[in-house]
Amino acid sequence: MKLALAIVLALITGNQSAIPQTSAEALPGLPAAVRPLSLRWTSEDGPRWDALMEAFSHAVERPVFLHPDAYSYLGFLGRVQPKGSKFTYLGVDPRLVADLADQRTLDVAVEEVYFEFESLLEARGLALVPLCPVEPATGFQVVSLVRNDGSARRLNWMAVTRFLSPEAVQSYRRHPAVLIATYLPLSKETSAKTLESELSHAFERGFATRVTALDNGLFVSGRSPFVCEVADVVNEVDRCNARGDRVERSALRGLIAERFLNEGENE
Amino acid sequence: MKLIPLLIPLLVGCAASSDALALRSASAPMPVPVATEGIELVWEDEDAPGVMDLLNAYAKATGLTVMYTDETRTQIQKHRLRMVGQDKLTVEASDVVAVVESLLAMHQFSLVPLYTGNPTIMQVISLETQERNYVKRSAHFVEPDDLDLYRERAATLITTSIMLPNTDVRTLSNSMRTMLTDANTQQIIPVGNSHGIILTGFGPDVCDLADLIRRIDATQAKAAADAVVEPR
Repeated sequence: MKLALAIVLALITGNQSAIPQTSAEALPGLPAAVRPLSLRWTSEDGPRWDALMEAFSHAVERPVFLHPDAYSYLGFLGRVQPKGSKFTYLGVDPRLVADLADQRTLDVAVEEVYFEFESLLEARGLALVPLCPVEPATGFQVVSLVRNDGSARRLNWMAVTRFLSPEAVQSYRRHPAVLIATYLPLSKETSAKTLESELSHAFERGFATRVTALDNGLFVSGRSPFVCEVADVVNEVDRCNARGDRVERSALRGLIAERFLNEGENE
Repeated sequence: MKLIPLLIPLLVGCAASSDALALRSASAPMPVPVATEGIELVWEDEDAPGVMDLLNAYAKATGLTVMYTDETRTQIQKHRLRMVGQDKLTVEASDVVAVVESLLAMHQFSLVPLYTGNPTIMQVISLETQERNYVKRSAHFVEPDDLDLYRERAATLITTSIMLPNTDVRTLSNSMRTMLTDANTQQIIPVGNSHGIILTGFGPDVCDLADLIRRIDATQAKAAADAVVEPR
């Protein structure tokens, strides 16, 4: 959360040095960005979506396809930040906003291309999906998770979700528009049903966001930061239970509220 | 509405069509298309290539014959490929099948082998038409060991059966059923009182589900083994 906050502050103040540096190392299905993302616009209405996607496509040197639903949705949205609307990055205090329209420029370092671009997608209910499982990725598709009225769009979530081992999940933490899924096995001291029940209250369920008890484990899917947060909570609870420090339901609720308060999914 | 689909040939494959298919084995006669050349699509100003252009390029690269019904043809003609950032899509022969099927799946099309002789015929079915109601019947059975061949086949419907000796498959399939979103193309069925489970869906989805339930079964096996060796 602090990283995202720092980026918003950097955008607002124009202080590029405040942007935290992260590795540009490629993840499976996500080729490394090879050049900064650079965008200029003169309209006071801010940049257009197609211009932003074109800039991202140049930065990663891969084509970006628009899912037919996303094409229609982006036509409806028009601008990255419709005039008069506030823009909020994932997980950032909603009082802090970056007004893209007034900036007239967007310059993003190579290391931050994915996070910045995906944050913009995430804020509008869009997801970034590798075109196909070919390695290295031949391209991307942008998928809309919401309808024009903001309600969840019905979609085959499996087709746009990357299944990962629990160990691989954390490496996707800074990919807010990438959808991932994992299975978290639990010790016999932890009830998967209880965790499912308590976690289900903490987020708005959509077609791509789910927590399901399967045998004695939890299947979790959704945007990468959400899955990482759930994995953190589940692992913490399971560790405590396994060593005999049983986490009671009330404590579990407190833990979940602390992690997920004001961090609902945008679906 | 026509009860019997009128199949309209798009392109009749050349003599290479039979060579373009690698039949896996007698028990799994599912054709695996192989492209012998790459494809290139060009975007000119506002004129984006359509799914018809994609299918033409696919038929040429694989030597297959591609057919569709009147209903699906309307959908094929309607869909344009919306790509930004580049003005040309160049796909190497080794990636043609994966990329084309991904683009077809993105536009709600399924690719079904209609005839595996010579010429080999693939049927394109639009899932936005009434044809989606019977598309599941065309899912081909794939041996569990061959699943990886379909990990990149996003528009191909397959069905497989997985044995889970350490899992109560009836309970598992009930829990997992809520994860399916399209009854026309996906299903999970426990096999009687055995430890088998049948999965149906598009290639990558079935592969992911198979990985998931195998992981669950392995976790169960480990838990059972730990319980046996636990000291009294």
